[in-house]
Amino acid sequence: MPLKQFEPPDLMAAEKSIVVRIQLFSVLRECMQSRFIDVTISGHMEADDFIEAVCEQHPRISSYRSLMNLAVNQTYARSGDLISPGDEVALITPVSGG
Amino acid sequence: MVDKQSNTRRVLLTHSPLDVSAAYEFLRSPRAGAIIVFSGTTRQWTDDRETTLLEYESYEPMALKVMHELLDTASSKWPLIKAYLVHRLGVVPVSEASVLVGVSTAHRRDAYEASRYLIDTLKVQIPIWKREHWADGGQQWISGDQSPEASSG
Repeated sequence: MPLKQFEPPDLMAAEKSIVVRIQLFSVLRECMQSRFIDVTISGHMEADDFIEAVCEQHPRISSYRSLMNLAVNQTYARSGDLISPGDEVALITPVSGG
Repeated sequence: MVDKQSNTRRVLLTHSPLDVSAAYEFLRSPRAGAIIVFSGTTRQWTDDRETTLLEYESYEPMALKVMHELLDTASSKWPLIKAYLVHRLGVVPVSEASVLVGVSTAHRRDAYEASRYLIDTLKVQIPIWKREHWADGGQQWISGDQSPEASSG
């Protein structure tokens, strides 16, 4: 009978989790009644997963999910782009200037 | 090439009314054979619904960054002499301008194409949102028809 390898609890993982502050505008700002929301992630995260995490941690905003794009460091992110600690992050719905 | 220096390029977000003649004066140049200033204004009627005012909100640092990027792209596509890109924020009453887009070029074709490109792209890419206020008391944030595109590279 093979021995199951002992896996210690990943104590480091909890320490690596970070809080990312996200800027909100227009409908999302009004939905949350705040210019910011915070999301906790562990380490780097791809943009799609990050939006998923936002919706899980803030269910009230999740009805807008299909409209959400991320801006990371003031640049529109692609789905696979990484969010890293210290990045400036904003949720962007389709714009309507002009 | 219109560079980031303010004598050939004006990029601004402001809560004050916009001045079309100031835009025109900025764009004037002995080298120009064409100047176009487009202004987008608050329209009172959309079908049978009356608008009383529009209200604009922006992610300001990113909006300014993307406005400069738009002008960089336009400058690489058309031989612009000067360019002007100014958006008003806050309340914009009926018949007043929310945006001015202007270019000066040697020939009119480039001026028409570049100014059309700038206003069309601005409406998809610049992080600014409008809220409509209607005469019946209703109000609503307007969502654009398409999502902004991540730039290549």
